[in-house]
Amino acid sequence: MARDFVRASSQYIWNANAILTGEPLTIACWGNCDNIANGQHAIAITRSASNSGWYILGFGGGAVGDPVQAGAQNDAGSLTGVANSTTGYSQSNWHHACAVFTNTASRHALIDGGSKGTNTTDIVTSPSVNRSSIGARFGSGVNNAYDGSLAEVGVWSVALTDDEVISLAKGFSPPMVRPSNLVFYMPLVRDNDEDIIGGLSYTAVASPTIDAHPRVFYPHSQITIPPIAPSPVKVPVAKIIRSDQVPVHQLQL
Amino acid sequence: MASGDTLDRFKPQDNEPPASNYATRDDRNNHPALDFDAGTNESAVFSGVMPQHYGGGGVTVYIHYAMSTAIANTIDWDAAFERIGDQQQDLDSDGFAAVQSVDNTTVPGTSGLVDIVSIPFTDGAQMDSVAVGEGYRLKITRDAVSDDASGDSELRFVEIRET
Repeated sequence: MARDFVRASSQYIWNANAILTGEPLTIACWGNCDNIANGQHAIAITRSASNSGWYILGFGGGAVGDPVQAGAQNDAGSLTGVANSTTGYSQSNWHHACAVFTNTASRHALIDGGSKGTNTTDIVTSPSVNRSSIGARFGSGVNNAYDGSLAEVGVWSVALTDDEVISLAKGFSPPMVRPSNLVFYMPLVRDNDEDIIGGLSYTAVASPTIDAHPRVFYPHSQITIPPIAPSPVKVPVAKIIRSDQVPVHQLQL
Repeated sequence: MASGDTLDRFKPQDNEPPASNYATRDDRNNHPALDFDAGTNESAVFSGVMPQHYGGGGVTVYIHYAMSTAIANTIDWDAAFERIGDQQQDLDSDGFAAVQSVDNTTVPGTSGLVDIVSIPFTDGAQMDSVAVGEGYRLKITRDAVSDDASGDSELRFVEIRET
């Protein structure tokens, strides 16, 4: 069961901590977006003091072609860089979305493991983020709320390679891709709004609901097969001789 | 190994979902589960290697499931094996043997209770001739088109035993 958000009700979940505070980072998720009319920020790392200064993974329903978007903005709001995937999402279908932030002057957006779009606007200084949200961009207010379902949110402290993004898009869950740099993983199964890597617990606002989960491969659980019971082994028993019957010269003293 | 001994076990996390009509991940009170819709046949697929101690006596697949909400009517389950083996199956295509079924099982009267049903397979063609030491896949399908229990069924465990 995925998490479902209704834009009109400004539903989202959030935590008063930034998942990461600067590049490089990668944000990825599965999204089933119902809206191809508005720009929606599915996952955001923001500032509580202002609506400016953020990182977002977005579904750009308000942009031509409805691309997946990787966006960054400085604290002042004067410098914004948004990468658009070169193909877009189709309404009400599951897509894998990924935003890769290499540095303050480079970011990429990918949909379903490909259609990589790049933006090189230099925002110069990473935003001084201190909170995170899923389902909307929650800075000092709620912005660009998302319409649809989200699942399998992962955040890495590196810029994942194109091949790693392909693995995610093939359905492998975040813990199976560069696990050493996975700093946040929220499967979003039902209303379990828990980051099972970093331990962040998110607060739900306006009662988002649940929906069917996308197709995902998880790390296999350990299988223990019962061992074969050993066959009885026949051990020859040495002849027991009473010590008083052993010749003196054979005694071991 | 003797009749009744476990050959393999699978949990929801072991699912290798097919490209379409796949059972979906869920949890119930922190119990991982796979949801199978009502009305549309959905499947879960698990991979394994037939252990060396399989004695060739056929196997029985045990399906542990609960119903999300239903407390009445019946459920149908199908299972099928695909032998991967040693140069037996081209990975680019599927080769499952004919399904074997357990049908018309009345669901538990309490939706959270786990019921265990079983499907026997004779050694040989019914198991797609999977032999000791060979890789295989097991597909579990809820025949929701045929059954009449309402709402999702939630798969909790699968066990394969020597019959």
